[in-house]
Amino acid sequence: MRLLNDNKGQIRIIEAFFASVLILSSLALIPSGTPITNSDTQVLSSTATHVLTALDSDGFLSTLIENSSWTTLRECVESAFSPSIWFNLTVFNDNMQQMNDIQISSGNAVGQTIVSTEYVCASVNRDYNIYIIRLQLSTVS
Amino acid sequence: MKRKRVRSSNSGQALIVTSLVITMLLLSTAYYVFEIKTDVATGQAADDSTFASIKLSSVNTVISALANVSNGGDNSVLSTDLNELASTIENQSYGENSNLQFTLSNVSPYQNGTWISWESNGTWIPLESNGTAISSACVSFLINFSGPSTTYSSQYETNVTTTLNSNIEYAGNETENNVNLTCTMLNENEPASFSDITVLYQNETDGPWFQVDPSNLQMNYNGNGTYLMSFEAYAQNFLQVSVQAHDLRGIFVVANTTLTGDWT
Repeated sequence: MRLLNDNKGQIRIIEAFFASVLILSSLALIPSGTPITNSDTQVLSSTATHVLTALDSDGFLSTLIENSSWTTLRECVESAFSPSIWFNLTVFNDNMQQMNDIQISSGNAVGQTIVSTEYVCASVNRDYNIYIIRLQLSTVS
Repeated sequence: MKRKRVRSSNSGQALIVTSLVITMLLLSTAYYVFEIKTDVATGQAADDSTFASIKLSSVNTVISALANVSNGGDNSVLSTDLNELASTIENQSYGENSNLQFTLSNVSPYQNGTWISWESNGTWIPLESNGTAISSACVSFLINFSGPSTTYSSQYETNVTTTLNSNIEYAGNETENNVNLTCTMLNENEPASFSDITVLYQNETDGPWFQVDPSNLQMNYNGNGTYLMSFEAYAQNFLQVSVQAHDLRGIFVVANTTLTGDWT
Protein backbone atom coordinates (compact mmCIF):
# COMPACT_ATOMS: atom_id res chain seq x y z
CA MET A 1 0.00 0.00 0.00
CA ARG A 2 2.86 2.36 0.88
CA LEU A 3 4.59 1.32 -2.30
CA LEU A 4 1.54 2.35 -4.37
CA ASN A 5 1.43 5.73 -2.68
CA ASP A 6 5.13 6.22 -3.52
CA ASN A 7 4.42 5.53 -7.22
CA LYS A 8 1.76 8.24 -7.44
CA GLY A 9 4.31 10.97 -8.20
CA GLN A 10 6.02 8.95 -10.90
CA ILE A 11 2.74 8.30 -12.69
CA ARG A 12 2.03 12.03 -12.69
CA ILE A 13 5.44 12.65 -14.18
CA ILE A 14 4.62 10.16 -16.92
CA GLU A 15 1.27 11.88 -17.43
CA ALA A 16 3.02 15.23 -17.69
CA PHE A 17 5.46 13.78 -20.21
CA PHE A 18 2.65 12.43 -22.40
CA ALA A 19 0.81 15.72 -22.10
CA SER A 20 3.85 17.65 -23.26
CA VAL A 21 4.43 15.21 -26.14
CA LEU A 22 0.80 15.69 -27.18
CA ILE A 23 1.08 19.47 -27.05
CA LEU A 24 4.42 19.41 -28.85
CA SER A 25 3.17 17.18 -31.67
CA SER A 26 0.02 19.27 -32.17
CA LEU A 27 1.85 22.62 -32.15
CA ALA A 28 4.65 21.35 -34.39
CA LEU A 29 2.14 21.10 -37.23
CA ILE A 30 1.31 24.84 -37.17
CA PRO A 31 4.35 26.54 -38.81
CA SER A 32 4.58 24.15 -41.76
CA GLY A 33 2.08 26.03 -44.01
CA THR A 34 2.72 29.71 -44.69
CA PRO A 35 6.51 30.19 -45.12
CA ILE A 36 6.71 27.72 -48.01
CA THR A 37 4.29 29.79 -50.13
CA ASN A 38 6.28 32.93 -49.36
CA SER A 39 9.50 31.15 -50.28
CA ASP A 40 8.03 29.98 -53.62
CA THR A 41 7.13 33.56 -54.48
CA GLN A 42 10.64 34.71 -53.62
CA VAL A 43 12.15 31.91 -55.69
CA LEU A 44 10.03 32.81 -58.74
CA SER A 45 10.91 36.48 -58.37
CA SER A 46 14.59 35.67 -57.98
CA THR A 47 14.49 33.30 -60.98
CA ALA A 48 12.92 36.03 -63.13
CA THR A 49 15.72 38.46 -62.25
CA HIS A 50 18.38 35.79 -62.83
CA VAL A 51 17.02 34.97 -66.29
CA LEU A 52 16.83 38.64 -67.32
CA THR A 53 20.34 39.28 -65.95
CA ALA A 54 21.68 36.32 -67.94
CA LEU A 55 20.00 37.58 -71.13
CA ASP A 56 21.33 41.09 -70.51
CA SER A 57 24.99 40.07 -70.44
CA ASP A 58 27.01 41.73 -73.22
CA GLY A 59 24.02 43.94 -73.96
CA PHE A 60 22.12 41.15 -75.73
CA LEU A 61 18.76 42.05 -74.18
CA SER A 62 18.95 45.75 -75.09
CA THR A 63 20.04 44.83 -78.62
CA LEU A 64 16.95 42.63 -79.04
CA ILE A 65 14.74 45.48 -77.77
CA GLU A 66 16.36 48.09 -80.02
CA ASN A 67 15.92 45.80 -83.02
CA SER A 68 12.30 45.06 -82.00
CA SER A 69 13.15 41.36 -82.13
CA TRP A 70 10.15 40.37 -80.02
CA THR A 71 9.85 36.84 -81.40
CA THR A 72 13.51 36.13 -80.64
CA LEU A 73 13.04 37.60 -77.18
CA ARG A 74 10.05 35.34 -76.53
CA GLU A 75 12.03 32.29 -77.70
CA CYS A 76 14.96 33.22 -75.44
CA VAL A 77 12.74 33.62 -72.38
CA GLU A 78 10.79 30.46 -73.23
CA SER A 79 14.00 28.43 -73.44
CA ALA A 80 15.09 29.72 -70.03
CA PHE A 81 12.04 28.40 -68.16
CA SER A 82 10.61 24.94 -67.80
CA PRO A 83 7.23 24.26 -69.48
CA SER A 84 5.62 24.24 -66.02
CA ILE A 85 6.21 27.99 -65.66
CA TRP A 86 3.93 30.51 -67.36
CA PHE A 87 5.44 33.88 -68.30
CA ASN A 88 4.35 37.21 -69.71
CA LEU A 89 6.94 39.84 -70.60
CA THR A 90 6.33 43.51 -71.32
CA VAL A 91 8.93 46.07 -72.37
CA PHE A 92 8.52 49.74 -71.48
CA ASN A 93 10.60 52.77 -72.38
CA ASP A 94 11.72 55.23 -69.70
CA ASN A 95 8.32 56.99 -69.96
CA MET A 96 6.60 53.68 -69.15
CA GLN A 97 5.12 53.41 -72.64
CA GLN A 98 4.81 49.84 -73.86
CA MET A 99 7.23 49.03 -76.66
CA ASN A 100 6.43 45.45 -77.68
CA ASP A 101 3.57 45.42 -80.16
CA ILE A 102 3.10 41.66 -79.92
CA GLN A 103 2.45 39.60 -76.83
CA ILE A 104 5.57 37.98 -75.39
CA SER A 105 3.95 35.20 -73.42
CA SER A 106 3.73 31.44 -73.09
CA GLY A 107 -0.08 31.41 -73.25
CA ASN A 108 -2.88 32.02 -70.80
CA ALA A 109 -2.14 32.16 -67.09
CA VAL A 110 -3.47 29.17 -65.21
CA GLY A 111 -1.72 29.51 -61.83
CA GLN A 112 -3.46 31.06 -58.85
CA THR A 113 -0.55 33.34 -57.94
CA ILE A 114 1.31 35.53 -60.45
CA VAL A 115 4.68 36.98 -59.42
CA SER A 116 5.65 40.22 -61.15
CA THR A 117 9.26 41.39 -61.36
CA GLU A 118 10.59 44.59 -62.90
CA TYR A 119 14.09 44.85 -64.35
CA VAL A 120 15.97 47.96 -65.44
CA CYS A 121 17.88 47.29 -68.67
CA ALA A 122 20.52 49.82 -69.75
CA SER A 123 21.65 49.80 -73.36
CA VAL A 124 25.33 49.53 -74.27
CA ASN A 125 25.01 51.61 -77.43
CA ARG A 126 26.50 55.07 -77.52
CA ASP A 127 22.92 56.38 -77.87
CA TYR A 128 21.95 55.62 -74.30
CA ASN A 129 18.49 54.31 -73.46
CA ILE A 130 16.90 52.71 -70.45
CA TYR A 131 14.19 50.07 -70.74
CA ILE A 132 11.98 48.66 -67.99
CA ILE A 133 11.10 45.02 -68.40
CA ARG A 134 8.19 43.54 -66.51
CA LEU A 135 8.30 39.78 -66.29
CA GLN A 136 5.30 38.00 -64.77
CA LEU A 137 5.67 34.37 -63.74
CA SER A 138 3.33 31.73 -62.45
CA THR A 139 3.61 28.03 -61.78
CA VAL A 140 1.27 25.98 -63.93
CA SER A 141 -0.59 23.61 -61.59
CA MET B 1 -1.45 16.92 8.45
CA LYS B 2 -4.20 18.19 6.18
CA ARG B 3 -1.89 20.89 4.72
CA LYS B 4 0.76 18.30 3.93
CA ARG B 5 -1.71 16.13 1.96
CA VAL B 6 -2.79 19.09 -0.19
CA ARG B 7 0.84 19.97 -1.01
CA SER B 8 1.49 16.36 -1.94
CA SER B 9 -1.51 16.15 -4.28
CA ASN B 10 -0.55 19.41 -6.05
CA SER B 11 2.94 18.25 -7.04
CA GLY B 12 1.67 16.52 -10.20
CA GLN B 13 -0.12 19.67 -11.37
CA ALA B 14 3.02 21.72 -10.83
CA LEU B 15 4.95 19.24 -12.92
CA ILE B 16 2.41 19.48 -15.72
CA VAL B 17 2.55 23.26 -15.68
CA THR B 18 6.35 23.20 -15.62
CA SER B 19 6.53 20.75 -18.49
CA LEU B 20 4.04 22.86 -20.45
CA VAL B 21 6.13 25.99 -19.92
CA ILE B 22 9.32 24.18 -20.94
CA THR B 23 7.57 22.76 -24.01
CA MET B 24 6.33 26.21 -25.01
CA LEU B 25 9.81 27.65 -24.57
CA LEU B 26 11.36 24.93 -26.70
CA LEU B 27 8.69 25.30 -29.34
CA SER B 28 8.93 29.06 -29.54
CA THR B 29 12.73 28.85 -29.81
CA ALA B 30 12.50 26.23 -32.56
CA TYR B 31 9.88 28.28 -34.42
CA TYR B 32 11.94 31.47 -34.11
CA VAL B 33 15.06 29.74 -35.47
CA PHE B 34 13.03 28.30 -38.35
CA GLU B 35 11.59 31.72 -39.24
CA ILE B 36 14.98 33.42 -39.09
CA LYS B 37 16.53 30.78 -41.36
CA THR B 38 13.71 31.16 -43.90
CA ASP B 39 13.98 34.96 -43.91
CA VAL B 40 17.75 34.94 -44.32
CA ALA B 41 17.64 32.41 -47.16
CA THR B 42 14.91 34.11 -49.21
CA GLY B 43 16.03 37.66 -48.40
CA GLN B 44 19.62 36.88 -49.37
CA ALA B 45 18.53 35.27 -52.65
CA ALA B 46 16.45 38.32 -53.55
CA ASP B 47 19.29 40.69 -52.61
CA ASP B 48 21.86 38.75 -54.66
CA SER B 49 19.77 38.74 -57.85
CA THR B 50 18.79 42.41 -57.44
CA PHE B 51 22.38 43.39 -56.73
CA ALA B 52 23.61 41.46 -59.81
CA SER B 53 21.03 43.12 -62.06
CA ILE B 54 21.79 46.66 -60.82
CA LYS B 55 25.53 46.03 -61.15
CA LEU B 56 25.07 44.81 -64.74
CA SER B 57 22.98 47.89 -65.60
CA SER B 58 25.65 50.17 -64.15
CA VAL B 59 28.42 48.44 -66.14
CA ASN B 60 26.36 48.65 -69.34
CA THR B 61 25.81 52.36 -68.69
CA VAL B 62 29.56 52.95 -68.30
CA ILE B 63 30.25 51.05 -71.54
CA SER B 64 27.63 53.12 -73.38
CA ALA B 65 29.04 56.40 -72.07
CA LEU B 66 32.62 55.40 -72.92
CA ALA B 67 31.55 54.46 -76.45
CA ASN B 68 29.98 57.92 -76.72
CA VAL B 69 32.95 59.85 -75.27
CA SER B 70 35.59 57.92 -77.23
CA ASN B 71 33.74 58.74 -80.46
CA GLY B 72 33.95 62.45 -79.75
CA GLY B 73 31.10 62.94 -77.27
CA ASP B 74 31.30 65.24 -74.28
CA ASN B 75 32.67 63.51 -71.17
CA SER B 76 29.74 64.84 -69.10
CA VAL B 77 27.71 62.07 -70.78
CA LEU B 78 28.94 59.59 -68.18
CA SER B 79 27.50 61.45 -65.20
CA THR B 80 24.30 62.32 -67.13
CA ASP B 81 23.65 58.67 -68.03
CA LEU B 82 24.47 57.40 -64.54
CA ASN B 83 22.13 59.98 -62.98
CA GLU B 84 19.37 58.79 -65.30
CA LEU B 85 20.04 55.17 -64.30
CA ALA B 86 20.09 56.00 -60.58
CA SER B 87 16.81 57.88 -60.90
CA THR B 88 15.15 55.00 -62.78
CA ILE B 89 16.36 52.42 -60.24
CA GLU B 90 15.08 54.55 -57.37
CA ASN B 91 11.68 54.91 -59.03
CA GLN B 92 11.35 51.23 -59.97
CA SER B 93 12.92 50.17 -56.65
CA TYR B 94 12.83 46.45 -57.54
CA GLY B 95 10.08 45.91 -54.98
CA GLU B 96 12.27 47.37 -52.25
CA ASN B 97 13.79 50.76 -51.54
CA SER B 98 16.90 50.74 -53.73
CA ASN B 99 19.37 53.53 -54.09
CA LEU B 100 22.40 53.79 -56.41
CA GLN B 101 25.15 56.31 -55.76
CA PHE B 102 28.27 56.80 -57.88
CA THR B 103 31.59 58.64 -57.77
CA LEU B 104 33.52 59.36 -60.96
CA SER B 105 37.24 58.77 -60.69
CA ASN B 106 39.39 61.89 -60.82
CA VAL B 107 42.61 60.11 -59.98
CA SER B 108 45.15 60.99 -62.72
CA PRO B 109 44.97 60.25 -65.63
CA TYR B 110 41.17 60.06 -65.20
CA GLN B 111 39.07 63.20 -65.51
CA ASN B 112 35.39 63.03 -64.66
CA GLY B 113 35.62 59.26 -64.78
CA THR B 114 37.13 58.91 -68.25
CA TRP B 115 40.61 58.66 -69.73
CA ILE B 116 41.10 58.99 -73.48
CA SER B 117 44.69 58.85 -74.68
CA TRP B 118 44.17 61.12 -77.68
CA GLU B 119 42.40 64.35 -78.52
CA SER B 120 40.34 65.51 -81.45
CA ASN B 121 41.39 68.51 -83.52
CA GLY B 122 39.32 67.79 -86.58
CA THR B 123 41.44 64.67 -86.86
CA TRP B 124 42.40 62.22 -84.11
CA ILE B 125 45.69 63.15 -82.50
CA PRO B 126 47.16 60.65 -80.02
CA LEU B 127 48.80 62.33 -77.04
CA GLU B 128 51.73 59.94 -77.40
CA SER B 129 53.10 58.08 -80.41
CA ASN B 130 54.20 55.03 -78.47
CA GLY B 131 51.85 52.66 -80.25
CA THR B 132 49.42 52.32 -77.34
CA ALA B 133 45.89 53.70 -77.20
CA ILE B 134 43.60 53.58 -74.19
CA SER B 135 39.92 54.42 -73.77
CA SER B 136 38.89 53.92 -70.19
CA ALA B 137 36.22 54.80 -67.66
CA CYS B 138 36.37 54.26 -63.92
CA VAL B 139 33.45 54.72 -61.52
CA SER B 140 32.82 53.68 -57.91
CA PHE B 141 29.28 52.62 -56.98
CA LEU B 142 27.36 52.18 -53.76
CA ILE B 143 24.06 50.27 -53.72
CA ASN B 144 21.72 50.49 -50.73
CA PHE B 145 18.60 48.33 -50.22
CA SER B 146 16.19 48.67 -47.39
CA GLY B 147 13.31 46.22 -47.44
CA PRO B 148 10.81 45.19 -44.77
CA SER B 149 13.05 42.38 -43.51
CA THR B 150 16.56 43.17 -44.74
CA THR B 151 18.93 46.08 -45.18
CA TYR B 152 21.75 45.58 -47.61
CA SER B 153 24.63 47.71 -48.82
CA SER B 154 27.33 46.96 -51.37
CA GLN B 155 30.21 48.95 -52.80
CA TYR B 156 32.10 48.12 -55.98
CA GLU B 157 34.24 49.74 -58.67
CA THR B 158 33.69 49.44 -62.41
CA ASN B 159 36.59 49.89 -64.77
CA VAL B 160 35.91 49.57 -68.49
CA THR B 161 39.08 49.77 -70.56
CA THR B 162 39.79 49.18 -74.22
CA THR B 163 43.49 49.03 -75.09
CA LEU B 164 45.09 48.91 -78.54
CA ASN B 165 48.78 48.16 -78.96
CA SER B 166 50.38 48.58 -82.38
CA ASN B 167 53.88 47.84 -83.59
CA ILE B 168 55.38 48.32 -87.08
CA GLU B 169 58.28 46.87 -88.99
CA TYR B 170 59.33 48.25 -92.34
CA ALA B 171 61.09 46.26 -95.03
CA GLY B 172 62.08 48.94 -97.53
CA ASN B 173 64.52 48.67 -100.41
CA GLU B 174 64.49 49.31 -104.16
CA THR B 175 62.00 46.51 -104.87
CA GLU B 176 60.04 46.08 -101.64
CA ASN B 177 58.21 48.64 -99.50
CA ASN B 178 56.36 46.44 -97.10
CA VAL B 179 54.98 47.56 -93.74
CA ASN B 180 54.22 44.80 -91.23
CA LEU B 181 51.78 45.94 -88.61
CA THR B 182 50.97 43.99 -85.45
CA CYS B 183 47.93 45.12 -83.45
CA THR B 184 46.56 43.74 -80.20
CA MET B 185 43.11 44.67 -78.92
CA LEU B 186 42.25 44.14 -75.25
CA ASN B 187 39.06 44.65 -73.21
CA GLU B 188 39.84 44.89 -69.49
CA ASN B 189 43.21 43.27 -70.29
CA GLU B 190 41.50 40.28 -71.92
CA PRO B 191 41.83 39.50 -75.66
CA ALA B 192 39.17 41.21 -77.74
CA SER B 193 38.22 41.71 -81.37
CA PHE B 194 37.90 44.66 -83.72
CA SER B 195 34.54 45.71 -85.01
CA ASP B 196 36.20 47.78 -87.72
CA ILE B 197 39.68 49.15 -88.38
CA THR B 198 41.20 51.97 -90.44
CA VAL B 199 44.95 52.23 -91.12
CA LEU B 200 46.62 55.47 -92.23
CA TYR B 201 50.27 56.32 -92.74
CA GLN B 202 52.45 59.39 -93.09
CA ASN B 203 55.81 59.09 -94.82
CA GLU B 204 57.23 62.53 -94.00
CA THR B 205 57.07 64.69 -90.90
CA ASP B 206 53.97 66.93 -90.96
CA GLY B 207 53.17 65.48 -94.38
CA PRO B 208 49.76 64.33 -95.59
CA TRP B 209 48.11 61.19 -94.27
CA PHE B 210 47.34 58.36 -96.71
CA GLN B 211 44.61 55.86 -95.91
CA VAL B 212 45.48 52.27 -96.67
CA ASP B 213 42.88 50.84 -99.02
CA PRO B 214 41.15 47.93 -97.24
CA SER B 215 41.65 45.81 -100.38
CA ASN B 216 45.42 46.34 -100.08
CA LEU B 217 45.48 45.53 -96.36
CA GLN B 218 46.26 41.90 -95.70
CA MET B 219 45.03 40.85 -92.30
CA ASN B 220 45.33 37.63 -90.32
CA TYR B 221 43.98 36.98 -86.85
CA ASN B 222 46.65 35.36 -84.72
CA GLY B 223 44.51 34.68 -81.62
CA ASN B 224 44.67 36.37 -78.21
CA GLY B 225 43.38 39.62 -79.71
CA THR B 226 46.42 39.93 -82.01
CA TYR B 227 46.09 40.81 -85.70
CA LEU B 228 48.96 40.64 -88.19
CA MET B 229 48.59 43.10 -91.06
CA SER B 230 50.74 44.18 -93.97
CA PHE B 231 50.51 46.81 -96.68
CA GLU B 232 52.78 48.59 -99.13
CA ALA B 233 53.98 52.13 -98.48
CA TYR B 234 56.99 54.10 -99.68
CA ALA B 235 59.05 55.82 -97.02
CA GLN B 236 62.70 56.85 -96.75
CA ASN B 237 63.57 57.73 -93.20
CA PHE B 238 60.24 58.45 -91.53
CA LEU B 239 57.08 56.43 -91.24
CA GLN B 240 54.17 57.02 -88.91
CA VAL B 241 51.24 54.60 -88.89
CA SER B 242 47.91 55.44 -87.29
CA VAL B 243 45.50 52.65 -86.40
CA GLN B 244 41.91 53.66 -85.65
CA ALA B 245 39.56 50.94 -84.46
CA HIS B 246 36.30 50.17 -82.69
CA ASP B 247 35.99 47.16 -80.44
CA LEU B 248 32.80 45.07 -80.45
CA ARG B 249 31.29 47.38 -77.79
CA GLY B 250 31.67 50.42 -80.07
CA ILE B 251 34.51 51.91 -78.01
CA PHE B 252 36.95 53.81 -80.23
CA VAL B 253 40.76 53.83 -79.93
CA VAL B 254 43.53 55.52 -81.93
CA ALA B 255 47.16 54.37 -81.73
CA ASN B 256 50.10 55.92 -83.58
CA THR B 257 53.49 54.30 -84.08
CA THR B 258 56.50 56.10 -85.52
CA LEU B 259 59.55 54.56 -87.16
CA THR B 260 62.59 56.72 -87.96
CA GLY B 261 66.03 56.00 -89.38
CA ASP B 262 67.74 55.60 -92.72
CA TRP B 263 66.67 52.22 -94.09
CA THR B 264 67.11 52.86 -97.82
